[in-house]
Amino acid sequence: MRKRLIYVGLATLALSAMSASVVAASQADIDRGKELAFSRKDGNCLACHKMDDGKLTGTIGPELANMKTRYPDRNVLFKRVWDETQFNPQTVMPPFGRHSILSKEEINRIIDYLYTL
Amino acid sequence: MKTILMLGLSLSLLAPLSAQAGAKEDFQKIYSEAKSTHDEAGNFKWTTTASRLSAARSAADDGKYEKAKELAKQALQLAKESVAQRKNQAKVWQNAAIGG
Amino acid sequence: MPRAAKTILVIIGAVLVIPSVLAGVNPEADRKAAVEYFKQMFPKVPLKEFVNGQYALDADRRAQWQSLQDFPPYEFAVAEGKEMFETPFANGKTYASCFENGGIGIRQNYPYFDEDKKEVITLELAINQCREANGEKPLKYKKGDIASISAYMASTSDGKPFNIRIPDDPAALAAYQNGKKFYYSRRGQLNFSCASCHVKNPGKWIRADLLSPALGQPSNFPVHRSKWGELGTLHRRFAGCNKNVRAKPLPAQSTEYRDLEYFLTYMSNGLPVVGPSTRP
Ligand code: HEC
Ligand code: HEC
Repeated sequence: MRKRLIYVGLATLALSAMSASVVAASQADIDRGKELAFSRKDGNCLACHKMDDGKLTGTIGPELANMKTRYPDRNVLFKRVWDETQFNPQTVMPPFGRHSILSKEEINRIIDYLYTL
Repeated sequence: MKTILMLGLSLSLLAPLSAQAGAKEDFQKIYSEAKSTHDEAGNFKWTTTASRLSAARSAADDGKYEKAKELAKQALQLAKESVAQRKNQAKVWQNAAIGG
Repeated sequence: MPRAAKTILVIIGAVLVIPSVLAGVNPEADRKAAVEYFKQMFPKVPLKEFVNGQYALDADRRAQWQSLQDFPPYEFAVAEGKEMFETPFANGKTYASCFENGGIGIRQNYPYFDEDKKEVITLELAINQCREANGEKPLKYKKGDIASISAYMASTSDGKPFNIRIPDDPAALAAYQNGKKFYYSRRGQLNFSCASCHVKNPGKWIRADLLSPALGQPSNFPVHRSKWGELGTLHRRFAGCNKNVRAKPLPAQSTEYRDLEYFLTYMSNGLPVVGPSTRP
């Protein structure tokens, strides 16, 4: 009984430590993120951004590269994808989170992927 | 004793039905709110709201009220965002306009 | 009441009826500012070239496009349009009876503001009003016969400079302003205004599409798009651009789209009619 309680306790600890920034993303998370970023009906980031091995990319936004160096704070990156208009009211980048184009979970997978660029 | 048993039995039979009835009412309430919010968006309606609304409607027509309720909730969320967009644009559209 | 006082009251009354939102609305200043804006953005593009949309901005695309101009895919539709235009209605009259100069060489004056009806009249609307006045059924607005007739009428106006007028009438100014507001308001789940693409980003690529500037945009309509495989009207294009950003399009020839056309065509005043044309 006591042993079980300890396990539960440990598990809770592990879970709370899993606040997005700490836990390394799995390959599956990264693959899913790339799929969401590239797909026309989801992120469609390629419409505007050159990134990775994306084909027929647009030229409206800057190339997405060196994300780790440029965004040491994951929260900042998350907020920009969630709603870039908060940073630049005139931007044409869609507010993916605020307008429910992507869910929180989906944005997190895209960010897992962005950090590999 | 017998009546109590009968009562218990009929209640337990009724339970799933009433849960269903609850879902139906929930759906109707959320759906009508979503629809009126969507209308409030005027010429700022989103196609995604419209398609969630019709998906919700057809789920309800098939008697799938839980699913219908979920879709109506999504439609309501989108409709609210479109109304917020309409209100906000009425204030800020000129900031981007050539000639003001 | 003394006459002077009466006059003053009338003047105050007149000033009061002008809605306050129209204070400072100056279409000609807007147009000049827009011309200046796009000239600065594309210093090498001659002003009249803007009617060629994306082809004014990219040499490769332009070369490809020009190589296809010997056999334009809309030729047959224009010939059909001419025939329909000249064929009498059941009552013996023709389209010519409804238009100034028999409908020849007048495309550049559309849309115009009708001061009696207090609304914007586009060429396609006028075509259907002509039909109905002569006991014929109206045509569908986005493609088919109406696009062919409109294309023929545009072809008789080739090269004439757009001359959209905004009469001295608060309702006309309001229609212009309504169109301008539509053009600059963000819409749809993806949160774009027309201007996000065609004012802020012309010359840039959105995926594999090259964005055209607002200036000159309506002058090549109706247009044969390879994507459509046929001619389509300006309002068909408006609806397409609305849908792409997940905004529910409005009906062709709705007040909103007519006002939008009024604003957009006014911006192109002085540029030549070049419709019909072809686009990807
Ligand atoms: C319609 C065009 C468009 C689309 C689609 C788009 N963006 Fe952007 N994005 C921009 C523009 C333009 C900027 C430049 C910053 C600004 O406008 O405020 C930008 C900036 C960014 C930035 C910050 C730039 C940097 O390098 O620091 C990130 C990160 C970003 N976008 C990620 C994304 C992701 C992820 C997606 C897909 C889910 C996406 N964008 C889709 C237009 C777009
Ligand atoms: C997300 C970007 C985007 C938005 C927003 C957008 N358009 Fe477009 N539009 C395009 C693209 C891409 C094309 C095809 C390439 C081109 O000619 O610009 C196009 C083409 C057009 C054309 C035809 C141009 C020609 O030369 O034949 C017109 C007219 C037009 N758009 C009007 C509008 C209007 C009006 C709105 C607002 C209701 C609008 N667009 C919003 C992307 C957009």
